[in-house]
Amino acid sequence: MKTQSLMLTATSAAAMMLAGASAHAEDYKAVILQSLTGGAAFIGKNVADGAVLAAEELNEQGFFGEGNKLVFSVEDDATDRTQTLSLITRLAADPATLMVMGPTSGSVALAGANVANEREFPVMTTTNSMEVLENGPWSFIMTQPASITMPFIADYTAETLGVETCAVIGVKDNEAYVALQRMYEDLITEAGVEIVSNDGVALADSDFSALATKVASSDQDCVFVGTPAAQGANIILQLKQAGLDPDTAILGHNAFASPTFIEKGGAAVEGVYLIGAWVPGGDNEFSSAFAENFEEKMGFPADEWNAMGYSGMQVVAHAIRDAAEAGNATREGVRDALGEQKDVPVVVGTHTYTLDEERVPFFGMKVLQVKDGEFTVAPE
Amino acid sequence: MLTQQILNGLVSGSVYALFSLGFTLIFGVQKLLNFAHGATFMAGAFIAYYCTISGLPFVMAIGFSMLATGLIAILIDLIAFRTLRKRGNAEFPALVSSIGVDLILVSIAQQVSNTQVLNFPFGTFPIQFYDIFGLRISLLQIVILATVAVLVAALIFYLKKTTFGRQVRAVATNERAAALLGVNAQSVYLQTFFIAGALAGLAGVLIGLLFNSIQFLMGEPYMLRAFVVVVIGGLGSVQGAIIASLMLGVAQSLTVAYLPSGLTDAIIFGLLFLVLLVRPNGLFGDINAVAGGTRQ
Amino acid sequence: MMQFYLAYQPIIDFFLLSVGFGYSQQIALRAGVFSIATAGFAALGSYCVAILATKTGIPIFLTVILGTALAAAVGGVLALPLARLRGAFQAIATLAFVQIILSLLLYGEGFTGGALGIVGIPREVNTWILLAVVAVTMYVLWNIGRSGMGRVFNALRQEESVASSLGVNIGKYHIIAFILSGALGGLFGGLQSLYTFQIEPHNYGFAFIVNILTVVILGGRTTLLGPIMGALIMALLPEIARPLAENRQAVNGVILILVITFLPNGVGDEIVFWFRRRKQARQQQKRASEKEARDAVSTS
Repeated sequence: MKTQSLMLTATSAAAMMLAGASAHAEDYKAVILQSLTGGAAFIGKNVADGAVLAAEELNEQGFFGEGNKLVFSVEDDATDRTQTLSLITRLAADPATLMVMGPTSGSVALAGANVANEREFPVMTTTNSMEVLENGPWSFIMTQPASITMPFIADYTAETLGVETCAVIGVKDNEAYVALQRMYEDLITEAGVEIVSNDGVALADSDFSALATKVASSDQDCVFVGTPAAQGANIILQLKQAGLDPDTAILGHNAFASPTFIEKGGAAVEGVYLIGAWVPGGDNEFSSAFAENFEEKMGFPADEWNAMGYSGMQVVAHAIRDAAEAGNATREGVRDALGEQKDVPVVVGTHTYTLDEERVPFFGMKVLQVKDGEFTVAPE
Repeated sequence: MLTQQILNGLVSGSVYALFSLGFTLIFGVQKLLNFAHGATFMAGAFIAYYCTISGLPFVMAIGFSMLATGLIAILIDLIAFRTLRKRGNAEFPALVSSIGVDLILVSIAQQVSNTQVLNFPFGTFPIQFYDIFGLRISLLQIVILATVAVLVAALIFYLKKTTFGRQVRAVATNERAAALLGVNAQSVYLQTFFIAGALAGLAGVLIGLLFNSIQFLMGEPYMLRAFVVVVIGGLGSVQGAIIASLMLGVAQSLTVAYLPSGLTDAIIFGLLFLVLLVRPNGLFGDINAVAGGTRQ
Repeated sequence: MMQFYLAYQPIIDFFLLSVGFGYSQQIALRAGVFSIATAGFAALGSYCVAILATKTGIPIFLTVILGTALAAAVGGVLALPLARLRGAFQAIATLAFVQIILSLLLYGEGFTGGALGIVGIPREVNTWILLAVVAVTMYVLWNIGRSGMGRVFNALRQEESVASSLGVNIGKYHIIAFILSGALGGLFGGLQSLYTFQIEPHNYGFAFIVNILTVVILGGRTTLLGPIMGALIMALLPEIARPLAENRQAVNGVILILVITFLPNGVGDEIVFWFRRRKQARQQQKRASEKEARDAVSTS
């Protein structure tokens, strides 16, 4: 990771020198600032990998016009709010840097948004927290808020599957997961589903034997597991081992849309329903090409966050190009262009990315099901 | 469901016992808290995992991992404890330097695993369930209970009946007097660290296998649990640690099953606080086991 | 200069907060209590301020005072059971205290916001306020250090039995030390929540404990300069070398081991001790030469 970011800085430095040599070439400078290490690394690292691939490809394709380039570097805040604050403050002090793609999520993203609005510096955080948007005009969110994504799985639970009772298992010590779980509970309760039990686990837990026995020995039509992929697979495994009725529907949210989920859960996660913006392997020309190129470059298949990073960089690039074409390649220009992005081709959801008047992103979701060890689109 | 939950608790508790024994042994002999014990436990799971996926038979992977964690524990003694012990009054400095070792080991594991949650490949251990008197018990749970019972018995025998055991107890009671009697205290320290490390390593492998999850932070909750166990059982008391571990395991299962979830930690640590207040030597603490546990 | 301040302002603020928490940690260690309760005090202070500032109309100034008072009171109460314990047991008990606080913060969702924490806290604190509070804190601690109490603390740390045989009421001084530790932890916790817009239980977990412990161990456990040096090094280290920042935890670990083993007094304390020794040596030298002069006069 260290070498990677060093190399990137080296290449971008080289790119800058080249740019200095040719007279008309323009360099647009942006920084991918994510949590490459620390608690949110499972999101930040993957988003950064996807975004770097996108930026490299766009530069190669001459997306920014003849000779023009996006000069980018990757920075790590180690999921540490103090480092986020200091990095963004320092980046904002360099007038050539147009915007930051990041920081990642949670308190890091909110802290980043605060300082970005203070310094009038556009940031596109990976999070889906509306508070980042409400914080001011300079802070954007890259992923769809729970109010857009959760109805997909809640409707599926209540209407398509028609369940009447549900047990909910969530993460108690991570605010993003808590928010998603809350939303789900509200939506299915509204649709008439009764929540029979509600349990929270800690992100570092792995002993779910007591919880699994409790849920397996009570009676419900569905179990909703709102945890990260690896932990969710593990919970489902232990639920099955504790003797959960095989007819019980198991559901999860978009965190499960990762190869890790199937890899860790094996046969136990067969039949689990989930929502995902990313259909692994891709589901149209653009996304399949991305899946192929990513695996070729990195040596492992792309997951949801890789695809999000790749898609986010497409949006960032379109905004920077639009601002440049309008003759206003400034921070303000990029901010305005970012807020006006419509139907940007992306590899997630329904393949186009649009920000509405409130700057809330929309790109759709799919209900997926694990079938024969693969994510497939769930039966309607 | 009650009996099933008690069984779950006993299995978890028996692994806590394996983990806490080494911790309490080091405290009994050296009067030092080894905060890096949790990281040693985590290292055990990591080493066995990488051995298994590189094709080593699982039994050999366990053996190798126990050997390696034993050596890691010896290294911890040499790096973090030895110099401080010589200077004397090492209680606080040793806690600090073992936190230092913990941070380094956890950081290495984070880099190695790339922050991912790992698990032993399917089929590492056969998954089989038995129904006994309406209880659902897996082969793995039976094997874990049996292994822990055998190891604990062996350790007690070792400490009570062998020359080494007598040496350990002599050093624990009075290092200087033991040295006068010709006991090599350094070698006793190295041996206790090795045993403690190997037991922690095995506990790590078993937990990793039982709950399908190996990750760089896995030592932290167990380390916190070990504090509870050794305080309730009496720091330095082997029998106390075993009873307290099993009690903690069962108590935890029952709080998850019958009380609002999320309160488990508050209840367990509240209990710890209470025990410290009422009986600072622990519920089963042998007053002689930890001379000076309280202010006289 | 202004440019420099703007670019490095968060680091300066981080440094000042660390110094404050460092003093809270230091005062307990200084009185010979192996406490790691500062994280719990900071959590109490910051949540108290955050809840009052977002949910009531109480003036901000007053919320900080209430947060400080709450943490100080809890510190005083906590000192009672701790006084019955010794060494390692105090460390375990204070760790349990922090765990209890954290799990209650997670559990009491309606009141504390659970894992979501509390958001939308007004940002009322800036570098200058932090600087002023740190200065006042140092002034108060300096006066305590020069008073009889400071000497009692030193005696307690070095040899408790001696102190008690000299008729010092140990329990009373432990309680005072804990009230001070709690007050400082709560005060800077409160300031921190008025600085970072948002707080969550996670902020006061194991990483917080380790960072503050590192500041004090690295800097020194007895002098006022200690936490300043410790916090300064910890704030600058990631800036000087980015690779160090990426491995912050491991770097913390190496520092803890090296410093406690080879420089047990810490950087700041060593500096102060060096000056003191030099002063003493000079005085001795002066006395010796005066004596020599006198002797020379009397023998001639």
